Amino acid sequence: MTDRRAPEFATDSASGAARVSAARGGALGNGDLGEPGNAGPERPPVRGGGVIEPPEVADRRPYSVNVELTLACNLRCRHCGSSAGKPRPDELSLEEFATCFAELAQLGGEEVCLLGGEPLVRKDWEAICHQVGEAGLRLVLITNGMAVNDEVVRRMAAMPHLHRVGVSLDAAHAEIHDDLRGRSGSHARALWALFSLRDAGIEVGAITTLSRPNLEELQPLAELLLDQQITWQIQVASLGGTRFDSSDHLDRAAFYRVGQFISECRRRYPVDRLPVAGSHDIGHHSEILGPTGELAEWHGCGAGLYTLGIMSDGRIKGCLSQHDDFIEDNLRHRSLVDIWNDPNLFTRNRRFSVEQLEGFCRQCPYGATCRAGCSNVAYTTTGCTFDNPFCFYRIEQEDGLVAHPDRPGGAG
Amino acid sequence: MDVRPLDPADPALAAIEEMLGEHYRSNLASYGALSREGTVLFACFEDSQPIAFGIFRNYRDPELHVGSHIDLDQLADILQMEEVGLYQVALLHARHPDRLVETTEALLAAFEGWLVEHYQRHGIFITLFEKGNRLARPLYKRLGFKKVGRPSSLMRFDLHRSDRFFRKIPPLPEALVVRFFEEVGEAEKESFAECYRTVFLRSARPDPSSVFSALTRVVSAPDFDPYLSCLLWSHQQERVVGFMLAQRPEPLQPHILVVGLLPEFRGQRLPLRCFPFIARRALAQGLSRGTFVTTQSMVVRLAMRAFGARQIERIQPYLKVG
Ligand code: SF4
Ligand code: SF4
Repeated sequence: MTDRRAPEFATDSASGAARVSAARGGALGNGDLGEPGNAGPERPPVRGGGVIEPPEVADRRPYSVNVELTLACNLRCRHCGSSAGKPRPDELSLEEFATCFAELAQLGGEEVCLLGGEPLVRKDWEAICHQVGEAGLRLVLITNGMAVNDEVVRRMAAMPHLHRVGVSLDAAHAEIHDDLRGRSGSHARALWALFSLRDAGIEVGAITTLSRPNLEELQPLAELLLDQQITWQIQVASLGGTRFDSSDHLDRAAFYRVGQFISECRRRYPVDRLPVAGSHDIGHHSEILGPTGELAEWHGCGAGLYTLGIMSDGRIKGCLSQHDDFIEDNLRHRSLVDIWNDPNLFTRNRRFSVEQLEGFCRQCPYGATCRAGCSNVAYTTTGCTFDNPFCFYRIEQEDGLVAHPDRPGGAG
Repeated sequence: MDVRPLDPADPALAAIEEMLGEHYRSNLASYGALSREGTVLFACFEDSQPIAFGIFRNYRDPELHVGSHIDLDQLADILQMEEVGLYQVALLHARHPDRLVETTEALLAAFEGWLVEHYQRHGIFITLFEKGNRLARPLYKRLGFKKVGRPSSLMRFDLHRSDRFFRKIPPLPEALVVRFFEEVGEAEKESFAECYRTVFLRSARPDPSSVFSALTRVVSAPDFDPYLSCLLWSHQQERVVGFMLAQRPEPLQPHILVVGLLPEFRGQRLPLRCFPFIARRALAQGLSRGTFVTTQSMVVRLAMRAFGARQIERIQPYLKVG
């Protein structure tokens, strides 16, 4: 499993301070699939899937939380951001998870996304899923599909609080997916899982993690997923996993192409035929592409503001995607409530001031709300969480893609 | 062949000091052997003469953290388990290289026997950074050591070209200043110990005074370089928020031992922004090169780009748990 990004914000029930922005489908949640320029009249949602904007920063609570059930995994994906494989030495027990979910509910949490490693390799995965429901939280589960069989599908379909299942699918061509994920047959299993879960009435999404080897798979994947009633979330592999060869990381030009692809898909296909969105941390404020991500509007990284990441040994980060340098505490040392309410933690987002911005972000008009985009992308590419070269707005400005009044040949 | 642990009064120590001086230009004190609780020295004897020795250090000892070539967080998982004795093989050496495999095997077996007597469970880890450890490489797999975590990169920077690079490095934020060790007072040292404890030893939770005294020993060790080691001091918060400690194992080649920052100060490239201060001092002393170790590919990339550092070696830790 590689998807360690913060949970997304879509849901089909309005809640708390979150505001329903549009009753449209969401890619693995979420996201506002937006109003692509000529998307035509309002279409019915794919399945449930109202879209909710993130709560205001003032309403600080762990609204949606990523929980790593285990670091154990039955695949060895090259781009895995958590370098999963073996379990951590002392992973949380069933009881510890129960306490954790109860505390999340107490803090105003609403959604728990279980991931790994591969969550289904934990023998007690089903019991943990039920605990999420018992705490009154919504459940999202992300799997690579390897362990999904008829019995697993049946059990998942019987979980009333299961909101969505995401299945990793990196290519339309089996050999590319299998090569990236380190195991032959993994593509077939992922497809089987996707279609079986869908057929069992579960809201299901494909999650594609892009790096150089599968960049050309975007179009074949679009053809594969078209009219399948499967939402599609596209994310970009980040630097940081030990198996990831940094030369496979998308450069800025390739990154922008991903934005162009999503934008083009949204223009070409109605949302109910291909509900596609970039993950919420991909590119912001483009003046050319229109909305490409899951959120109607980018409010900046939510780590420690309305999302939280819980590692399988109890260590806590603002978001599981973040580098281990941003581990804040451990729920085995003190309660999650105390950790969340500690004014000295999660300072990257909680104590932000515009003076901290660096590089292009410092003079960007969106800087104050954007806070330099995804803290993980910024940190792993520049060493600074407040200088983010992987931004559509910045690429457009720096590479002269938009006409600029004070540049030769610019408008005005 | 007889193998036994040595105590501080053992007459064999002189011969071991001699081997260390000859092959590593070092001494027992710089390994903390026999002077520190938690460092254990074993030797192999033949005809009552030491023919090989091994230095093993308790990984819970803060002094070891400072000189460790591996990612300090990597073994944090194991460190959280109180009952586990976790030791690093600091150095293995045999007087005659052709006896190295045989003596290493005997030393490790004797040391493991000692661990079993002292701890419920134990872990031994080793890196191949030291030449002696490297020479016995084929043995480790057979003895049950397995690769753990990320390998570290040994990086070298060349200060001759630094001015060109340093112009591009952003200055430190106004609230922060660099204080070099030669000029810091007791209060700053105490604040440094607290900072160190928060950065590296949070899960192990040692008491503050033991960290302070361990770090006091580190900064008074003969090869510690107070001239190039610095603290990052926050005026606003009146405390140390980060540190970079350097050592001078070779007279002309400083080695940055460890860099640490309080969590809330990470992600602002502060070590990089401190680097020109250190580099300028080094240049003023006629030093043109230095080294540091990192486990983070991000730091490797950044150091290459920001000041032309080069990766010269990869260091892989191996672990055996019993
Ligand atoms: S340039 Fe930086 S601050 Fe501006 S929109 Fe992009 S990431 Fe955000
Ligand atoms: S670090 Fe922030 S922006 Fe990036 S994935 Fe996590 S919550 Fe989202």
